[in-house]
Amino acid sequence: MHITEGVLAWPVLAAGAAVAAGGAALALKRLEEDRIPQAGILAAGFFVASLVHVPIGPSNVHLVMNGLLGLLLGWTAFPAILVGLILQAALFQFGGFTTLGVNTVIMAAPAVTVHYLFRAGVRSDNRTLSLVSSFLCGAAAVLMGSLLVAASLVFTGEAFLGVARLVVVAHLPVTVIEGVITAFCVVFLKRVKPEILEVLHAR
Amino acid sequence: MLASRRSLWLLVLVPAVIFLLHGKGAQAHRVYVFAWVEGDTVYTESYFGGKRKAAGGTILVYDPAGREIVRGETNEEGIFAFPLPGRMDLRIVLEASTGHRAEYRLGADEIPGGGEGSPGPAVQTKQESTTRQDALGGDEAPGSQGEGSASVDAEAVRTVVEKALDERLNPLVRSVARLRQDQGPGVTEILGGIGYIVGLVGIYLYARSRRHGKGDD
Repeated sequence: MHITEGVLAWPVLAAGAAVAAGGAALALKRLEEDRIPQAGILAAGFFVASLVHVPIGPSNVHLVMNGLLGLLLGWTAFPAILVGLILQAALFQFGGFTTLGVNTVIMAAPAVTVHYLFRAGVRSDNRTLSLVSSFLCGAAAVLMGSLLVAASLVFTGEAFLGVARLVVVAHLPVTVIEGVITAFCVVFLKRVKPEILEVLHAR
Repeated sequence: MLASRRSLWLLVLVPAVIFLLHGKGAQAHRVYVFAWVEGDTVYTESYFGGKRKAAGGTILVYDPAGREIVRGETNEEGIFAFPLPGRMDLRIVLEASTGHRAEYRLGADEIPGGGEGSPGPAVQTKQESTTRQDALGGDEAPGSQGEGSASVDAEAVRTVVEKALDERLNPLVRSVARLRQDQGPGVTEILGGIGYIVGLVGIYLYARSRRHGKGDD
């Protein structure tokens, strides 16, 4: 899901950088002190998740974990993913520094979106509803990310539908796996550490 | 007490998981392209970090002036071959689908000389074979005539040797280039990154606590 350097045109890069910087600044301002360690741990999880490869399907893809991150962090997903991507670019040579902004938006915007879309469902006491919402939260975040990749590639002259199909199909196994992982994490957290999910009730 | 025990577990578990992942060959998610020359043909090989061949990618070849001179698609083995356009620096770009891109520079000095060749080694071979001829053929006077026949021989020997060397060395060159490029993230990088994030959290918390003037708890 990382777009490499030298692929995108500069207006796309600039727009991505602006949105990413704005989102991160906004989120950091609103970030409460006692949730900073949690954001750090999730950023670290995101950083490492990219090393877990899913050897199914036509392409070479890895876990993203932006759904779980968004669900638990909301807007803080922006700085968390930005930090994770900086380190991935610096240490793993994934993506690149010029594409940092675009890649942040590609993964963080869906994260924030699923937070607001599914948090009501996830916190529900109805077990089935909560489970289904958690699954959709993880899956939808990857799906939206794939569509954003396709959208940013459109401006380089590739046909949207063609690329979108390619990226979505390539990430299909990851989409399902992340849905399952997210559902599993929510069930686990509800049982073991429900206070982490308190964020779902806030604001 | 409970909290400290839990973090202790984390300290043990996280590196364990990382080592496990690493052992299973967690691979970089990048594409690579590599090129080499055999005779009059340039071969390019494209693959993902996990040694998976990058099939169906587009290869673009640029000359030193930045003009596109060759364009083609990699086959199922990730290979694309094209005739050597001449002795010059080539910039080979791989555009795999969905935003992956890689580049390889094939320098003119990596291209085995066809006719004109690189001057350095050629002269050396010439001198060597001349002296050898001197040693062997005692009756031949070391004049201009002898030198002429020696240079012809040297040319032939050079071609044969170069061909043989190409065959022997190409696999080696390929594997060396792969080794040089395909260094997936090691445990050092992974732990370093995690440590970096922990450090950032610490700095941020520290800054916040100072600002609020209650750094004691």
